[in-house]
Amino acid sequence: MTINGAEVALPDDHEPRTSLGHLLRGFGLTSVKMACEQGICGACTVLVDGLPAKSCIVLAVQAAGHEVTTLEGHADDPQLERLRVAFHETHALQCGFCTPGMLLSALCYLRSSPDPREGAIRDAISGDLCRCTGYQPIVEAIERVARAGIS
Amino acid sequence: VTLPRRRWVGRPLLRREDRRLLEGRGRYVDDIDLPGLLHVRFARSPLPHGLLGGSDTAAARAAAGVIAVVTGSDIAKDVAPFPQRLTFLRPITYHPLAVERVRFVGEPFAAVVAASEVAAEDAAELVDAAIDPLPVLMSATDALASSAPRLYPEWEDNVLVHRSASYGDVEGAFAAADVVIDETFHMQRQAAVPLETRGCVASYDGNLLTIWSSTQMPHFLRSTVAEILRVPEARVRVIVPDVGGGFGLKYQVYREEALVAYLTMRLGRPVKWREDIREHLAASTHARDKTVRCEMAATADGRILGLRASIVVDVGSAMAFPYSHGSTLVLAGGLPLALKTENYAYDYRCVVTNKAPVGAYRGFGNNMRVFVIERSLDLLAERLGMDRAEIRRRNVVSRADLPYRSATGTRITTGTVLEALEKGLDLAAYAGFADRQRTARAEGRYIGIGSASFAETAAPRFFEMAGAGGAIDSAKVRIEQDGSASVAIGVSPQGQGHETMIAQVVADELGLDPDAVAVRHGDTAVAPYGIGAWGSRSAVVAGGAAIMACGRLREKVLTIAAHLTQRAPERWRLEDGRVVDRDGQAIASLREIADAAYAGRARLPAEMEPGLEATAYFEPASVDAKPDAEGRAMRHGTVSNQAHVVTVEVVPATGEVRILDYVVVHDCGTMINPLMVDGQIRGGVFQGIAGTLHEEIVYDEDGQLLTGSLIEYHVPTAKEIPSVRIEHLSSPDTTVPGGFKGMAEGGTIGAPAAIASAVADALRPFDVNITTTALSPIKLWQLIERSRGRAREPALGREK
Repeated sequence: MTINGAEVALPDDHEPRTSLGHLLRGFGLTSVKMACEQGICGACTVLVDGLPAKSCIVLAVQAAGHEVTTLEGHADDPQLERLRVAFHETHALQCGFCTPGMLLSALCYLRSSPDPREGAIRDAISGDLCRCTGYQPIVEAIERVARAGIS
Repeated sequence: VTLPRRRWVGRPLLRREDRRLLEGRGRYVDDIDLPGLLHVRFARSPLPHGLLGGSDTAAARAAAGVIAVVTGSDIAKDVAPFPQRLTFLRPITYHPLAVERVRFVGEPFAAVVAASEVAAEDAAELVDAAIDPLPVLMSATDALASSAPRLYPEWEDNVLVHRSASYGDVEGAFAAADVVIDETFHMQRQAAVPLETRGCVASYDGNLLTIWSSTQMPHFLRSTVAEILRVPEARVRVIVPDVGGGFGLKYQVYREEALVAYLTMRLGRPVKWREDIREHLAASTHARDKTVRCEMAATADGRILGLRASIVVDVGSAMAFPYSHGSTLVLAGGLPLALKTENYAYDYRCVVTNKAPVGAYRGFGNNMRVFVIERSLDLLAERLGMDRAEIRRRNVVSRADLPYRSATGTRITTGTVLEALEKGLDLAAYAGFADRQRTARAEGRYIGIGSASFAETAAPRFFEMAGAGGAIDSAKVRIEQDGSASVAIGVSPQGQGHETMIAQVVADELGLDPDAVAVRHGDTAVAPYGIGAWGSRSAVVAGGAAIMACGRLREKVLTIAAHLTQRAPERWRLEDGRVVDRDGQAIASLREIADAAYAGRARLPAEMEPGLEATAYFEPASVDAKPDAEGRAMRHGTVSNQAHVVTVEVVPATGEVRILDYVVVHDCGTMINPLMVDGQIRGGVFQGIAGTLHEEIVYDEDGQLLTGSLIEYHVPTAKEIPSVRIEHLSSPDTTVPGGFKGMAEGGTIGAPAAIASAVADALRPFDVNITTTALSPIKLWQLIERSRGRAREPALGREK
């Protein structure tokens, strides 16, 4: 597989049950957060072939042959930077634990269908739990970037 | 000394914490790696109650990668039980690992240390518990039965604490009443569920013990672990890295934290524990689970004469440190808070059962007190045929009533409890709502409106609840040689934004740009002593301490400036990194003054101590040291207020509640950062909605947890949570520096009451009496069906 663009082979003694999330964290990609580990909360969201995946319920071996990217791998993406600025300005994060997953879900949403309507945005991030903000500023931040993209 | 101008306090400054978090560079406990790190997993009881036989650990010891396996009895001689400082509670002796008896599903009785997390987890499953089952107590009612077996055999019943008190003339009030509302209310068991579960890393170098923990209480954790491990506190250092939310759950010091510290000392290698979600939901702490019978005596024109409350709280196994009963004390002591009545009596019992211990969670008894009072007021209005807003106008404290002393002694000096409600009703168009409701009903839609208007006590005393500390906290401020300022605060945040907030306060006090102020916290080797971030206290106590420390520094700075310039400091102030005179003309720069301060005797006034550093310990002057002869006391630093007005639509066919509009009007005095205040309100409302329409911890009658994952414990998503409209009022506090009032729990406090009121209003055509905050679709649907004479069996969990 590739991880953030680099070719990676699983080691010979790879434990087959290792989740993709644990593999990535083992490589020091700590933007991938382990929280519920049952595919509910979205803190471990990464992109597999450009689509969001919950890396806690994807086995590392299932990602073989695919392109995996984490938040670290999108560091230079101008759209991600716009999202970061918008999150910052709307106070869309408090503890920050959900933020990497939330940003990747938002990034993916804006790439696929940058619909700035509130309901569509709420749908798009409904796989990511945030326990701090009440979601409203996150929705506003994504909407702001979506609208800027249209104009 | 002329007081500083406010330039930064009050501004929606963007948070300095954000950038690294937005880049995924936050550093939480699980991101900490140390050379030679070992991992621990706990073997936890699969049964809710039983006697522990000798656990068989042979298979676990033999498993691949395992370094050590310890059980409760193995370590009982090495570690002390958790301290017991509260003599009015029945004694509970418990250790980091269970010894002799387990009392809830998930209680740890053994720990496995291995080279990897996976190896530790596998081996922990091999520990054979050998538990001899005992009868279980799964409700307070069961536990209070005279025939009930005892959870703690040395007690005479299952009551952790039973207290009652009476203020004013309660008997007289009820004798004079035209009408008495008598209803029993329940708030279901819930969990705080910070997204980052619990966890810690400990390391021991043969002298110093270092603990990195996801906690709200670094100093308290240090004191507790030092006592349990019998190590001098000064040789223990607690470091709090980024914390992925706390909400009260990380207020407790947990058995696992003590055990990880023990293991690293015993094994001489660093040890990490990261909890999974099943452990978290089963074995951290839960909250709420409170039942209140409230009697409200009133006149025929709707004036309350007195209140009586009988409170029963299921505190689970109660093995929580510092306590399980604290939120009950807040509930009982706060019930009549902003109601104009002096006559109040309460009786509360905290009852132990075979559930996880109850601990702190945002709202902390206040959400229940507001729910009980608001529902009772609604019922009174209904009984008297009076408008719900009008009943509040007659009973809720308004600005004209201030200063007001509540029945139990809380002083409301400034604020807008009733005024905020009026404004909220205005914003939500309450006046025209009856027409909208009629129109909607004609279309077959059931809409309703409800409110909660309440005072929010904050920055409370810790002492009487936990046996340590008053309402104190601290700040240390040093003006560096270049004139910038380093600040260390005693409180330690979990995402609230303390670094930005305190920088704003200090920037004003020292006339600096916030960028020239660095704020540190959460490391007991750096921060002065503090008692933690909880009780909506940080702005008040850390802000107050910072202002005090800056005041001392300012005096010294001006004295040095006068000495250097040989001028009299007449109405000088600090501005833009300089001392300026009354006309704004520069006298000296902070850099020059700091230079002199660190140069010592050569450049300072005679007898002046060198250096430019001040540490201040602060306790709000408003807090009473002890109760008066009638038992009344101000136990909190500040009182803010909020009003919530919510409009809902209920779908009777499904029991779904849709929130159509949510308005909050609040008054927390001087806002340090309005952006963060809004953030606290929105986050608080979210948790209040979650705890009303979505979340419930459910055990079956055999003591097994049915909501052991986020699949069953439904944390709402962005699709279920509405936007909140917020209006600010401002009545600065006159008793604490800066005029700040604590406010971070009001969202959670008000939402259950306001939503319940709105749901009840929407369902008026049905015979549904809303007396619980468990209003998930299934629960509400059952209530509606029952009102139609169609009793439906509960599909999930047990009826209360």
